[in-house]
Formats: sequence, C-alpha cells, structure tokens
Amino acid sequence: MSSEAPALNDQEPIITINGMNKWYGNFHVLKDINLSVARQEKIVIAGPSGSGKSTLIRCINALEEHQEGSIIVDGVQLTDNLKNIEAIRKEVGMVFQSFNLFPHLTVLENCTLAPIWVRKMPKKEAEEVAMHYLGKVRIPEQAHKFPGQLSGGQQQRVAIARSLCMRPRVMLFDEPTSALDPEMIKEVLDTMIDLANEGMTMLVVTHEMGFARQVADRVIFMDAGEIVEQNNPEDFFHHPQNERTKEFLSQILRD
Amino acid sequence: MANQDLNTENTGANFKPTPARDAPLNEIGWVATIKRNLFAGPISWVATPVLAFIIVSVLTHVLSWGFLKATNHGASNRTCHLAERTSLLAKGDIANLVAGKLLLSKSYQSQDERLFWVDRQTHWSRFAASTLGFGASYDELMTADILADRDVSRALSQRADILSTIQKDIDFIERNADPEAVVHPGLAKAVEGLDLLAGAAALKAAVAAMDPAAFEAARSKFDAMIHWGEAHNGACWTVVKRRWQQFLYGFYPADQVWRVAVTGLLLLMGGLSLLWPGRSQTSRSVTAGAVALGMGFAIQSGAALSGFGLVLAYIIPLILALLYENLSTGRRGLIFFLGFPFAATWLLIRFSLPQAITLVSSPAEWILGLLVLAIWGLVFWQSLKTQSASKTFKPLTNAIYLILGALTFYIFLTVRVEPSGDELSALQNLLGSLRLSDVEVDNIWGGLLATAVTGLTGIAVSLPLGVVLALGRRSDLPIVSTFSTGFIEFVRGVPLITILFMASVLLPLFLPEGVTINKLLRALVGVSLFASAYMAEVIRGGLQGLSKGQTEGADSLGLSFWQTQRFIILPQALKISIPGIVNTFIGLYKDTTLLSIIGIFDLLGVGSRSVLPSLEWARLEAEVYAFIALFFFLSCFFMSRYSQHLERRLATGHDH
Repeated sequence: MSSEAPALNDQEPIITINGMNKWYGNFHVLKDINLSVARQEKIVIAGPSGSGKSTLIRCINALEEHQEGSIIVDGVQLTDNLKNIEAIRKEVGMVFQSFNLFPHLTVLENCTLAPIWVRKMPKKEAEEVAMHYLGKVRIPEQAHKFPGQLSGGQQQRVAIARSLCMRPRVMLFDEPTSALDPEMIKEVLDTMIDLANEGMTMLVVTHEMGFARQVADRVIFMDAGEIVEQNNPEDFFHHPQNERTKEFLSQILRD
Repeated sequence: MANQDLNTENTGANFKPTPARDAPLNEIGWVATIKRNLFAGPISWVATPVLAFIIVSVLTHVLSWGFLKATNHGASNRTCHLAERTSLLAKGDIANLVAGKLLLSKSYQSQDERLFWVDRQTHWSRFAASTLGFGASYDELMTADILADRDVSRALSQRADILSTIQKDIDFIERNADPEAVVHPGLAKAVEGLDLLAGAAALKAAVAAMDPAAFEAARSKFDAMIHWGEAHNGACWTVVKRRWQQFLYGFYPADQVWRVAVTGLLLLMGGLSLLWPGRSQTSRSVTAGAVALGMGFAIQSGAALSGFGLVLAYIIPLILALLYENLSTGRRGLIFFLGFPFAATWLLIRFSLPQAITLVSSPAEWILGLLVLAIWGLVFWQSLKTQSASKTFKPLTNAIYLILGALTFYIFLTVRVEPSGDELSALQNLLGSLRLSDVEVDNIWGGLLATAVTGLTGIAVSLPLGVVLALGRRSDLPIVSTFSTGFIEFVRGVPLITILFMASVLLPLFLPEGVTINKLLRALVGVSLFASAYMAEVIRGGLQGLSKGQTEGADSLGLSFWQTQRFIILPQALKISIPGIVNTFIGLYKDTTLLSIIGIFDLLGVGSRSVLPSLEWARLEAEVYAFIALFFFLSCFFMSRYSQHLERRLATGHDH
C-alpha cells in the first residue's frame, strides 16, 4: 500500500493552524491556537476535561466550526466551502470515543461504504482494501458480523480500520480508549502503536500517558482553551515547565 | 492421589462448575403455568372465568352465524329467505301460540290463569314480531305488530301461509332457467314427496278447529324442512357472491375488468418479491412464469387476440417478468416504483396522448415509426453484443431498452391505427385490437379498486414525502424548516374530512375554467398530503432516536449530506419508526372509507350506497358490513404482521 507513505521530500507541515479562536455562543472555547503538524508526526494532546482538546481536533476536520484564524490541511484551506470541507475529510480519518460505527451495516460494509461512495472505488477493490485493514487490526474473521455483535475493543478496532480504508494522510483520535473496559484498552492501543510505527501522522487526545511516552514525538498540554505547554515526551514528563502542567501530571501520574 | 487432587484444585486447570439442577417441578409444569397466569389472585379468579365465558359465547355466536349456519347458495336471496321462513315454523314457537289461543278460549279458567296466558301470548307475539322483523317483508312486519294486539289466530294462519310462500319460492326457483338458481339440495331432499299447499291447508284447518293435536300432526310432516331451515338461518353470503365484481371493481366496465386484474397481478408480482427479497431464483422464476401466463389469459379473454397478438401477449409479459425477477432487489424496487405507476395508469385509464400525436395518421408516420423501431433494435443489438463480449449482463439497461422498445411500438404503431377508412389491413386490425379503450374514473372506479388505489397511493406517496418533510423540519435553513413545520402543523390540525371536502368542492373553484381534475385524483392528493404530515412526525421521532455520533461518523468519512441521509441516517431512522409508520399506514388505509362521503364508491360506499339500497339485499346490513370489516381487518392484520416480520429481519444485535 504505497499511498500510506507520504512523499518524504514534501517538507511543509501537513496541518497548519494559525491564530484559531472558537466560541460556543459567548463562551471562548479555543484561544489563539497555533499549531503545525509535520508529516508522520505523532502528537498526543493531554489536559483536564473541558480544556478544549477534543474541540481542537474536531475543528481540524470541520466537525466543529471555528470563528477566527485559519486551518490548512494538506494545502487546502478550511472554509465554509463544502467542497473544501469534503476534500479535507477525505484525507483526515477520525476515531471517536463512542466508536460511531453504523449498527445497521456489517463490519465489512462499514469499511467499504465511504471508499465506494466518496473515493468512487469499485466494490470489489473496496472489499479487498477493507479486508486488508481488518487484517491489520486483527479482526478479519468478524467482517460479516454486525457491530452490535462485537466487544467494545473489537468495535473500536473496526472504527480504526474503517477510517484507514479511506487511506487518510492524517488520523485524529478522540479519546479512543475512554469508553472501553480495562482489558480491552490494550488491544486498541497496540493497534494504534502499529499504525504509528508504519508512519501515519496522528493526533491523539488521550489520558493514556504510557502510550504518549512510547509513541509521541510531541506532547501538547491544553488547559482552558489554550496550548499551555508542548514538548517531547521525555522533557514533558520529567521536566514540565508550567505550574498547571505540573499539577496535571501529578494528578494523572499519581499511581 | 490426595496430592494430585490438591494440585488440580489449586491450579484451577480442571475447574469444574457445580452441576446445574432441574427447576422445582411445581414451578414449571402446566399446572403451575395455569395457576400463575390464570388464577393468580382473587381478581384473576373472577376475571378469568368471566372473560372466558364472554369470549366463548361471542365466538360461538359469530361462528354459528357466519360459518356453521351461513349459506351462499344460489344466485338470489331466495335460499336465505327460505331458510328464514322455514325456521319460523319451529316447534316451540307454534306450540306456545296454539296453547295460548286454546287457553284463551276456555271460559272456565280463573281470572289469574287468564291474565297469565294473556301475558304469555303477548310475549310470544312480540317475539314473533321481532323474528319476523329480522327477515320479513313490510306486510309480515305489520302482521306481527297486529299480533302484539293479541290476534293470535292470525299468527297461526300466517305460519300456515308461510308454507304456501315456501312452495311459491321453490316453484320460482325451479321455473327459473338460471343454472345457479337451483333449490338448495338439503331443502330439496327435505321437501321431497311433500305437498306443501296441502300441508298448509291442513294447518289452517287445524287452527280453525282449535285442535292442537291436529296442528302438531300437520306440522310434524315438515320437521325435516324446519330442521333444514334452522340449520341454514345464519349469514346470507349470497350477497357477497352476487355482488363480488362490484365489491372488487365498482362500476368498471365488465368487459374491461381484466385490465384491473392484470394490474393487480403486476402489483402482486412486483410487491411480493420486494416484500420478501431473499427467495430463491427458481421459485421466483416460477412465480414470474405463472404471473405471465395469468396475464396472457387475462389479455386473451379481454381483447380476443389471435395468432401473433396472442404470442405477444404471452411472450412480452413473460420476458419482462423473468428479467424483472432476475434483477437485484434494489433495481427491482427502482423499476417497480418508477414503472408500476405508469403501467397501472395506462392499464386502468389509458394515457390520453396529445391530440397531435393521436390524430395524425399517414403512411409517412408508419415509416417513421418503423424507422425508430429499427434504430432501437440496432442500438439494443449493439448493447447486447458488448454485454456478451465483456461477459457482464446488465439487466437494468436491458429492461430499459425493452420498455423503450415497447413504448416506441405503442406510440408509433398501435396509436397510428385510427380507423381512417374501411380498408384496414390484417396487421392494422391486430394492432388495433391491442389498443385499450379509455375508461372514465369518476363514478366508474369503485370498490376494492378505489380503496386499493387510494390506500396504496397514499402509502407510496406519504412515506417519501414524510421523509422530506421530516428532514425539512430539522433543517438548518430557516425557510425550509418553517415551511415544513407550517405544513405539518396545519395539515395535522385539520380533520381529513375537511381536507377531502376542500379538495372536492373548493379546489375546482380555484382552477381555471375548462380545467377539470377528476374527483378520485383530488381525493388522492388530499389523502396523501394528510398522511405525509403524520408520517413526517413519525419519522422525525425516528431521526431523533439516533445519536449525533452517527452523523459525525459519516461526516468524518467525507460522505456528503445526502449520502449520509441515504446510507446512514434514514435506514436507521426508518427502522426505528417501523411501528409508527405501519400505524400511520393502517390509519390511512382505513381512512380511505371517508371517500364515500365525497361521493366516491369505495369498498364501504359500494356496500352502503349500492348494494344495501337495492331491493333484493336491503336487509343484509350485517352480512355486508361484516364482509367489509373482515376485509379491512385482514389487510390491516397483514400489514401489522409484516411490520413485525420486518423488525425481526432488520434486527442486527444490540444497536444502541
């Protein structure tokens, strides 16, 4: 699958966010966000709940609108223009906390729907691609079941495969393990680690700090709608600069 | 050994669960079931027997009236009347009357005794009046009323007269040349060798002589006949048999009724294979073949075709049916919903083509028609060749080609054959016989045809329109949502009758002069719009049952708004709404009976305004309404069961 590996000579960042602000009504959710994501970079976004980290990544594929600033994904400016939005969503995959699988379609149909109708791929080819990625997330044998018949961890792996079938250039993960039973978290994280090792650009909102240490190139700490601190995992965890970061880490790493 | 046991217990490798025990017998046996469900407490001790008694007695009456004692013999109401009359001669009724009469005449009886018998006699007279009233002529009813004024001897001689009437009825049936109008075999056997008129005379003589023994002797000769009468004095289904065509088609011309039948067959074929998609190819092909044959027969009997025409009538439907049955369910649905309305309209009414096309008839047109047909043939042939070359059979394309071909044929060749002189060629005659005549809708369509057309159109229109309105009401665009909300709230706030009256009375006032829309079409529009408002709310309920995550999941994959609605949102929302949708369908279907208020003879209208007002069937309200009720019940019950089947079929584990 050659399309997974982006051209290395392309040095410009795949996502550039400049001075982005977002309000819910009068509530200022995101404040002056500046962020640039390099190709193949893995970023983990951490922070207390309500800090705007989910909202931030949901702005990147326009599930949420932003009111100020610019977001450029793979050279396409995110505007109100539906064509731009659809073009960006084609290239950006997303995995949700609550899976959001389509319960009336089989696992295979979940995976082939978008490639067939958005990428205009022939059905047979789409099924081959889907089986390839279902194999990667290690559940090809469940292809003809319905999501309701699978465990939470299996459903989340299907959700990852479903996104991968669109062959996205960036993957967004919105707390992918928060809704899972403890014994299922590992199987999902393993899948994500495999994906990271293959060079996918990933933005992950998660509380799994072990995953951050192992995979992330950069950890971003957000609080009250701002990016408070960002650093490589080594320095982030051992030498946090900001007081709020220290406090957060002391709470989350208590055990 | 002990050591080993200890080891296995400790490691848990050979863990054995405690064996399951059987449930206690007094909790699971049938006695327990009955006790728990039927006699659980004081209320159920009372309710169970009472309700059981009510159910059993109602069922017994209904079964006895509707099935066991019912008759549908003959072609007129005479068998029913005979059964009613003979049963009036039953023993108890007459014996009491005679006894009353005799006792009244005894002068020596005490005042108390006298009053007692006057009372009895009045009671029986009233009883006679009510039984006679059930099936009697006006004269008989009046007689019975006079009976209540204590003229018992008139009652008795009237019972004697009944015998003469029976004889007259039997004579009438035998005189009648109609092969269906034969005396019921049971009755024929019972009166064999009996002289009814002599019997009547004997009864009259016994009454005149005040001789109960003689009366009983005379009456007992007719025991078999009376028994027959009592056994057949139930529902008179002859009315349904006789007016069957009217119940089905209203006043559709009898020689054109085959067109309705073919339309019904097409509907069945298309509908059934869509309702149960997963059936095997073989059985579907058999169905298709049977349907095609049926159509062939229908067309043959209707249009008296011969030779080439007959072949066409068999072959074209067969090919179309087989093609259709071999399509995938989705394509079949597409073709059915796009094609059937046109086919049905053409069959039932025939499209009136624009004057310019129908009136021009010249050799040039013929040549043009043949030319178009030749081009069509060439293109189709090419398409078939490419298909066979690439080994991909395209049923949809082929079906469209065939329909186009048939249309070309119809428009250019059959329509050409306006009788333009005396010299029509054999081919022209043949093509002319393929033409359908126009059938008016107003005051012609009726019965099940009108009911089904309204019900099915309402169902077919209200679902998509309801979806559009429901999506519209949830739209972010203020104008769209205001319009949808306004429409829904207005239509839901107005009674259906008002809408039907507006459609039938007010609408024509707003139309330009000379433009008329037929009454049924106006009612169809009214009913469909009415049902869509309800449907929209039902579907909106389903849409709200879905989590926002479904839309977000679809959005994140890059699906467009309409793709999201089509593949993700609507399938799930409609599935959730199935009970509500079917509820609306059933309501709409039954509401079609309101059509009879604006002068359309729907199934109920045929019954109440055409069958019952006729002299012959005037007093059979029970039978006519029971038949209509049964029909509606069966169709609605089918819808309800099908919806449950559908819910089970679409279940995919734990959804939400």
